[in-house]
Amino acid sequence: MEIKVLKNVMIKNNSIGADNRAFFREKAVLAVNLVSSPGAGKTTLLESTIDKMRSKYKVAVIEGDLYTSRDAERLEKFNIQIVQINTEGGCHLDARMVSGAIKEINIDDVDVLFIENVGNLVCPASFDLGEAKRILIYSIAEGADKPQKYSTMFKTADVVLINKVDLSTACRVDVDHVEKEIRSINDKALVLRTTAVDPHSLREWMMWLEGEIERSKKSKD
Amino acid sequence: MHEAKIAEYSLSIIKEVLIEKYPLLDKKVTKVVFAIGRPYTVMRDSFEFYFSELVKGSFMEDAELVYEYVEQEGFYVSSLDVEE
Ligand SMILES: Nc1nc2c(ncn2[C@@H]2O[C@H](COP(=O)(O)OP(=O)(O)O)[C@@H](O)[C@H]2O)c(=O)[nH]1
Ligand SMILES: [Mg+2]
Repeated sequence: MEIKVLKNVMIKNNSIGADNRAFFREKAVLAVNLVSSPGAGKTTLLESTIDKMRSKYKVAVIEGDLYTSRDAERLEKFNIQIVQINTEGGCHLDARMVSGAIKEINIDDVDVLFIENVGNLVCPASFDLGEAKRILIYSIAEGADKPQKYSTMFKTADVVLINKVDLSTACRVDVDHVEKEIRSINDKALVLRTTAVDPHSLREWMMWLEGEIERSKKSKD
Repeated sequence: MHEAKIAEYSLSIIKEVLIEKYPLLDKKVTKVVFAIGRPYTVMRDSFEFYFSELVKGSFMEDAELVYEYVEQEGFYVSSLDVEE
């Protein structure tokens, strides 16, 4: 006998993601999911960003990592709420892990929640965490061909930061060409250029981010 | 690597459906049809490896696993065949 099931397996993840999203909205917290390959500059961007904004906004971070807490340690100096998730080999964060981590955060004391995903240019694309915005940090040192090769990640991003722009000459990569490749895959994403180690390069990023935080705060009133 | 988790999710969906019809889980499943949707990031071989490990020794051990590709987003359990 045949039984029709027709159930989307990803619903198990996505329904928790939807719950997380509703929770963030209710609490007027802007949740941002940072994805990239290992070493593209997620933690560095967080360091520079948090340093610039923490006098103005209340920041919390969920740090996803395979086994270590080294990234979380890099952020301890900012005296913010940080929750570490170790995936024990898992290649991405999922909505359930985030839902668990939120319980350890005093969310009423948060304007913006950064979620640093596991460094991986494939799997995190398929797992909604309930974030409002997905930010892909793409280091110029990865070359111009990866947007095509890992297109799912680029398609699902709201913002793409082309990072390590300071290294373009050394890496013999043309930044305009990279930007064109990204836009050919996703013409809706905001594409910005950054050098995460240099806070001066982050003006546009900070403006966008603060605009989003203000918008999420207003949505509560 | 997420194939392991998708295999787990799939199994729990199949169990939920079966328990509704056969609370004792005393029927053998002979076939499961999965539908792989866009963006096609689920690797069939890897998924099958984990799924087969999970169902070893169970009512689904001998089920034939069949795959279809569909346009919708996601990964689906489409249908089950259960012995009469
Ligand atoms: N030259 C240069 N190095 C950078 C930049 N951003 C990050 N890095 C360096 O890249 C390495 C990896 O950065 P990290 O933030 O740990 O990457 P993550 O794995 O994505 O968190 C570190 O040594 C950073 O100092 C950048 O814009 N320019
Ligand atoms: Mg990091």
